[in-house]
Amino acid sequence: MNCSKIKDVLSAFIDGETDSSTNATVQAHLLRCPECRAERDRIEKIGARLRNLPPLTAPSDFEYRIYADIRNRVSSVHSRNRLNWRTVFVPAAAMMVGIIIGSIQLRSPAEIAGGGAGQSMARNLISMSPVTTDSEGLREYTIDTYIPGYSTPVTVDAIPDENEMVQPDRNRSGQSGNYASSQVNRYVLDQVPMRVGYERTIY
Amino acid sequence: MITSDDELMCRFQKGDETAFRRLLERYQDRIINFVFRMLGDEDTAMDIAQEVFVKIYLNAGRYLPGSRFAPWLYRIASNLAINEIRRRKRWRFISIDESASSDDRNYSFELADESATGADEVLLQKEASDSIEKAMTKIPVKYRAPLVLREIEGYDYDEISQILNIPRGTVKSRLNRGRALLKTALYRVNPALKTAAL
Ligand SMILES: [Zn+2]
Repeated sequence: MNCSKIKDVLSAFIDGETDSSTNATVQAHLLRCPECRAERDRIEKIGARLRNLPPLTAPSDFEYRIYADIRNRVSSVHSRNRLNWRTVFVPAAAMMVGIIIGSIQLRSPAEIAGGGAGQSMARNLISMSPVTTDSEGLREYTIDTYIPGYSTPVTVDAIPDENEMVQPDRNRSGQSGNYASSQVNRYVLDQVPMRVGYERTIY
Repeated sequence: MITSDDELMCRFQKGDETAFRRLLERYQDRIINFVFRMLGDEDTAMDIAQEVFVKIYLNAGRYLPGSRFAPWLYRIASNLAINEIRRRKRWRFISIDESASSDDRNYSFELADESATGADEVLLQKEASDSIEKAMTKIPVKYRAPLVLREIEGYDYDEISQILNIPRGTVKSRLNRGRALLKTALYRVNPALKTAAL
């Protein structure tokens, strides 16, 4: 191979992506050709310069921003597929009690959903999980729902006002079976500012 | 033991939110840097990287269990970065030409920076960094993407071919051409590197 042919394969050679016979040819050429050696060194040097560039690191609120973004999109999808919140609210509220307790105990969403509240819609709530805790310590949750007949994402409507929120009393949590717990914590529930849900594809 | 990406994705598909967070933690810096090297602009890179993970979250159902997560992730990232570059091109008349029809030699390079005289080593290094960053933005994105994936991310040709959805032979030729273009761009941005660097 002449120099120009060598230069065509030099890049792949440096990357270890040439076959053994090409490797042997290039190696032999490099031994006797200072110009191609210099070219190889330049390529390697530029690669090293790229690798040595000072890296960026994620800002501390990167995760928060991602979840906020997800929440906004889910909410905006919701506005196009609005359900009457009351149709969803009651079973959802019953489930919320479970979520709150579940989150305190860090139970898996599947476990929580598995112990479903047994209400008409509740069987359609297949999983739920806390999303994030924002800077003020307010908890937000997604409620992943599967509601037959809706192929697009649906949202369990944001509760318009805390006062309308079903408060967690012991009886209610008792009804929801598995969630009965002495850890029902009204304080936490009172801080839930909104709840969103969307349909997740069932695999 | 380290949980594999695939296992975390599968767990996330089943509703385990912490699995997503672990993937995020594992890849956030790499994706931010990948996008940053593609775009050369920190703020936009953060926004695009954010978008990448939002897409992963919302499209988790499209991930095929048992397949490799990282190439899928980088593919989303490179698509978004390329879209961003195209979007900018529509907004500004900048010549980071990446259309297949154009001649590679048509780029309008900026005037070379004044090279430092009598600068100390640290300053020279800083300048070299700035120069290569600048040079990267001068070459077409179709060459930039494989260069970043190869030189910074360390992917092999088959992986790059998967990520960018181009044949392996094209990866090879774009890396070859991309390196030549980057070298030319670098020496134009900072001629001092031509002799000093080697
Ligand atoms: Zn030679």
